[in-house]
Amino acid sequence: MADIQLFLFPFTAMASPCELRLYAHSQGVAEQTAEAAIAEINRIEVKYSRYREDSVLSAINRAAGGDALAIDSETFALLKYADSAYQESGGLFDISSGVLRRAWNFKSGEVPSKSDIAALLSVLGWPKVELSEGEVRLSRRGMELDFGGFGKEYAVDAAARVCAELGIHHGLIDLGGDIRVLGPHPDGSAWQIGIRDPLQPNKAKLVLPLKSGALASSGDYERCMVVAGKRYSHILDPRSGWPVQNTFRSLSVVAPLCLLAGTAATVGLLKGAQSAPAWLSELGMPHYWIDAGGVDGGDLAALRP
Amino acid sequence: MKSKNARGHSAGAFKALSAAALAIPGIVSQVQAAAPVAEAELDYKASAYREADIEGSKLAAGSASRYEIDTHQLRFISPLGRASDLAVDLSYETMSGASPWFIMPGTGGGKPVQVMSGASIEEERKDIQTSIGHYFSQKVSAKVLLGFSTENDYQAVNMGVEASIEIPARELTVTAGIGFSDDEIEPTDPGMPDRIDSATRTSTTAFVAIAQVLNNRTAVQGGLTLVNNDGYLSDPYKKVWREDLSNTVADKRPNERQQVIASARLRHYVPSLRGALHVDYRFFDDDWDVSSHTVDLAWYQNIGDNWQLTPSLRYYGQSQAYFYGPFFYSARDDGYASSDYRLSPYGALSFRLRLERNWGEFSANFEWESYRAAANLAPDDVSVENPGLVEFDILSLGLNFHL
Amino acid sequence: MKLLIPLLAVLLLPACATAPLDAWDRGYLARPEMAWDPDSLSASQRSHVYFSKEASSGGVSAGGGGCGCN
Repeated sequence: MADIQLFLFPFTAMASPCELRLYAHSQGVAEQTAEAAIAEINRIEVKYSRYREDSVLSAINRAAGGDALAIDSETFALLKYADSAYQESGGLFDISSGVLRRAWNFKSGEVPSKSDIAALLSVLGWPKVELSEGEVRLSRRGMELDFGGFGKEYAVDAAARVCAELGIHHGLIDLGGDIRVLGPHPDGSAWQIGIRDPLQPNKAKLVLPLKSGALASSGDYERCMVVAGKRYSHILDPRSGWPVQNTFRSLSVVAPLCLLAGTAATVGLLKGAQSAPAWLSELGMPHYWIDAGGVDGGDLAALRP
Repeated sequence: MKSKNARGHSAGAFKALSAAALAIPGIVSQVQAAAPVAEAELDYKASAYREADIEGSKLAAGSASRYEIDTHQLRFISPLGRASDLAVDLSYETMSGASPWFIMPGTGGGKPVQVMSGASIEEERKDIQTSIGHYFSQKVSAKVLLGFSTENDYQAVNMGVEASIEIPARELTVTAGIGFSDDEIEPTDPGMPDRIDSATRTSTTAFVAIAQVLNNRTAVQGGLTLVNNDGYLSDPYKKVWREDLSNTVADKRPNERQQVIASARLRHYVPSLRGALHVDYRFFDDDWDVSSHTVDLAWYQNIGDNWQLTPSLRYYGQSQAYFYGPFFYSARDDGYASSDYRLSPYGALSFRLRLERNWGEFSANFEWESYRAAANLAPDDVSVENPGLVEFDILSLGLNFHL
Repeated sequence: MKLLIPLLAVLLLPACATAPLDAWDRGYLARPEMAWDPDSLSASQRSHVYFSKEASSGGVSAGGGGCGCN
């Protein structure tokens, strides 16, 4: 009968490299738990994937401009969350803004025209989504919802719930950098989580010790377009349809749930380097940013060696 | 979007977002809300109960060795559909040994001495208790209980219902229930003079309990229970010595007994010590004049990841029933009389130690209890100690399987 | 009268009402050793022994068989 050991389960999901690190008394228990957690992640991916015709999300999008569609309690609660995030972010967190990708093709190197953007703005905007108990309706044809902004973070929290229910209280879930800690190492010590330096991707700019809670990061350094000397970030402001100007290269937020951390990181990035610090401080979530010039800040910066 | 009170807006932002996140069914396990058991479990426990021999100076006649009970318990719990669960408890006991019969005055004015029955009693007890719980919502649940119990000389049916309501906004849970039991006694050796052939008694119980979470590591519960017993409440195997008759008469107790029990318990976890403190207090009072206090303290110490050691201490102190006496010089006006040590004034201290080893889906535990009753432990002064006060040890081994 | 104090204590308990805990803050309370009866077989067996060997009874439940205990 073994003492508690660490088992690692790398896998791919939501187009990201993922890993479960679980402490368990036996390989059998760890494998069973990993299987259940990965099954839950896959369930959420399939249910809310933009790319699958049979997903609930695609059904909602196909019904745009038509009749209201009946939705279950999980979908309804997720949309209520998106609504809450829209309200609390002043309209910056908007899951109906995915249609902007039709105009912004970062591979092409072409900047869209003002009329292209105006046309998309007419089929975009959370207030155009009619949400009532058990039903949702996208009021204009061509509208689309996209869970890309919070689906992965939700899956992290759901996987954590599965692990906790199966008795795993020490471990960590990592879905492509969105992390939720199940509990510290069995000796009580914290997980040392490295936050990547955008300019030196193989080095950690900061190592964050976490015993519980979640970490999510948003970044602007991975995808962008430079046209005629001007840098266009892939972080698009849903209110204008244009990329956000002057924002951080990367922003990491710590919160009790990965969903909350992810929303704060996304909104922080959209608020931009000027307004985000005050908003994040008042929100009360520990955070760390690195700006375009490589300067870092935020209350977690104190942990830098 | 700017607002005048930016600080207020954002503090509310965290609360609003958290509330919306926690409303998502997949996010947080609903374990704290009323919910059926999550998975099936099977528990087994074997116990050996051994009473210490009665001291030579306290024994008048009969066997010095007392009671021995071996018990096997089996418990099975399982979810039943989506919103219900089932629990079945089986118990099988074999009992043998002598028990106190009656008490005689001591020779030469010394302390009273116990006459024990012959050590020939061998009995079996079988008991089954079942309950089905149904969860109407995360806040409201109810349970129905039904049980049967049989021994060589005894049979009982019991049933009850309980309901539980949670008030999440105040971290409060209210539970209430009623129970009913119908017992039939048919004493063995009915041929013995002045021993009854058969008798019945019934028992009705009602209780209410309120549990309150005080903070993230402390919970308390207060409860009030009322019990009414009706019927043959005497002990058919016990006698009382009457000096005026130079003979014994049958143990005779009132036909009714009303009891009130007030209880309070605390559970407090100390994260820095990785242990939990349990404090239980019970106050009992009835219309036979018996009143008692019970205090139970336990410390659950987690050791490493797989072990748990739990020492505990229990103090019990009771007063006597009004019709109790070690023996009687003459009949009481009301005709009642009992020399049963269980109705005498005394106190008892019991020390327990439990060790548990956990392997994930399976765990085993070992427990030892040592109990000693004495008149000098009673809350009030006792002039004459009942010679039949008991001392016992229990060793048990338990196994627990997650199915 | 003896009953008044415990009765008051029980009834005043709800006055200790607290603001609801955050759902992720329930870890300690969910620990097995924080249950009212962590080992239910042990609790029921102990309760049965004390009921047989002492004059008192009682617990916050409606169940439990009796016994013809000596």
